[in-house]
Amino acid sequence: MSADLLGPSAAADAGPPVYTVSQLNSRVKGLLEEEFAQVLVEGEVTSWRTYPSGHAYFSVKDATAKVGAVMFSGRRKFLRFEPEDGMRVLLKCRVTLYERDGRFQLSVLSMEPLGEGALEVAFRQLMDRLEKEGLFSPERKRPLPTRPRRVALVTSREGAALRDMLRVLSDRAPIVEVVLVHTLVQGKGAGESIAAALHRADRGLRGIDRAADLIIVGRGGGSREDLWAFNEEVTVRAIVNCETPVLSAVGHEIDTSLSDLAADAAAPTPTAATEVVARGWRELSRDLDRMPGTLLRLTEGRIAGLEARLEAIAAERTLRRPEDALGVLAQRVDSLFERMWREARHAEAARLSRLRGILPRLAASSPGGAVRRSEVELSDMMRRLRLADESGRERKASALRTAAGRLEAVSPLAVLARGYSLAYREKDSSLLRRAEQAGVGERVRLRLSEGMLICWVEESLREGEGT
Amino acid sequence: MNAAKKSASSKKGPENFEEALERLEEIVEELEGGEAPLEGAVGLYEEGVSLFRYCREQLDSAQKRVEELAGEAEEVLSLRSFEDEDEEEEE
Repeated sequence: MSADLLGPSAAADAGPPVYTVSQLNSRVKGLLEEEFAQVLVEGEVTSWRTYPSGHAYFSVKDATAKVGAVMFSGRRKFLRFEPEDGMRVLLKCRVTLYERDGRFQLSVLSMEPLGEGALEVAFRQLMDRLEKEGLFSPERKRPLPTRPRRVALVTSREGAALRDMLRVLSDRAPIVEVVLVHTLVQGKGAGESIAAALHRADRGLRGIDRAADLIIVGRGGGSREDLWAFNEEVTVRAIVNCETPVLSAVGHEIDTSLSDLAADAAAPTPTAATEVVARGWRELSRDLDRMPGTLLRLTEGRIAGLEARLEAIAAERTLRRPEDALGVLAQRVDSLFERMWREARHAEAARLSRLRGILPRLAASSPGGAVRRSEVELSDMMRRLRLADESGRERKASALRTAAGRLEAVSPLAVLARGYSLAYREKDSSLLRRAEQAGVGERVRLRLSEGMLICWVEESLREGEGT
Repeated sequence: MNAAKKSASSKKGPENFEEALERLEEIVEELEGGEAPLEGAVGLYEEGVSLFRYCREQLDSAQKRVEELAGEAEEVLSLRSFEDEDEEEEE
């Protein structure tokens, strides 16, 4: 009985052999498998369907013909893309026969898309799928911090990209702290490795209280195959799950990876990513350099405003009761002088000479107590400006010098312009406040708004004697 | 000089860069408001200049801080100094 199944029964009259159906199918199967042990077939996929077993059943067709095909799970798992109906493919397969139905079919060993490569198809398919899920949507994007203080670099410890990034950061933004989180960037398991590294850079750093402000994930240029890990679903999902903003920097300018699409922002290269970081700091640096000027301008403006107000008050008082005002002036200036000289004696030589220059002008000060206070403050201000000037940089120093000059310009010399003058005893330059301070025949200098008069005392009158 | 140094050091220095920057911006706003009395304005100016110097120093500090996250499991993560062995060969 079993012999019958193995071969046709020989008829007695040696005519054509008679097969059972099973025998025939078995025979044909053998012939087919021998003849078409491995062939390449080009065609269009139709009716692609998969089963829980992992096997896939479909047909391939061209304009006029069609043939069934099966791809078993053992082979299918090596497919990088998911075949779709209508896709043109090149199959490497053997031809076999499904004995039960007597239908011949292709048993597919491998499959390549025609027109575009397997990676492109896989890329496009995954992109479409994740896109539909909303992972690349603009609403998901968070703004990158303009000046991150701590940046986590998720890349290979050995890669050229790391060295490039470290160089840019240390040259242009040395204030930035860098944490390397090593990962494989290509080859088997790279996607999983990147995903794990991203997780550590995000939650891990947070866990040890060193949360990064920004994660840069990437690698230098390479073939499409080399960059593949950055197109894997596991990588994309890890990026999307990061709480820390992620800047993706994969390969060269022309490469766009799914990582780029999933991240909050993408830089064309790793170097460019670090330049983005450095730019924020450089802008700050520029703004910062304008600070001393701004501070000076604002402070000066404030002082000039107060000065103008005080001058106005002084002028008003002087007009109202000139003698009274002068009396008050004399008294105030008197005590001011004493204070200033006392202070000046203890000061350094430079400061002393500075004060000497200021004192004659203080003598011309307006009568109000507020004015006197402002004078003290003004000279103090100038002293501080000068100190800042000395310890500052050259550029700043010249700005400060200009400012000090301007401050002097708003000094109460203006009072002299209204016709008051200051009298000094020539021999010791002391300011004359009482007639008895200068003896008859002594030389006296009169400081006017413009220029100076040198006079001899002809007569000295006490209060009330002359007027 | 002594007086200036004394007053600068007796003032509480900024805790960190961000704080200094924030304070500096506050000072500019205060001065812009024009409400500060004269002595206050001078004091703000002084403080501003010293904050500026602090920020400038921080920005320019040549110190490069590179660390590597060590450990695979989350509970044993730590940072260690990263040594770039190839740095010498670069360029």
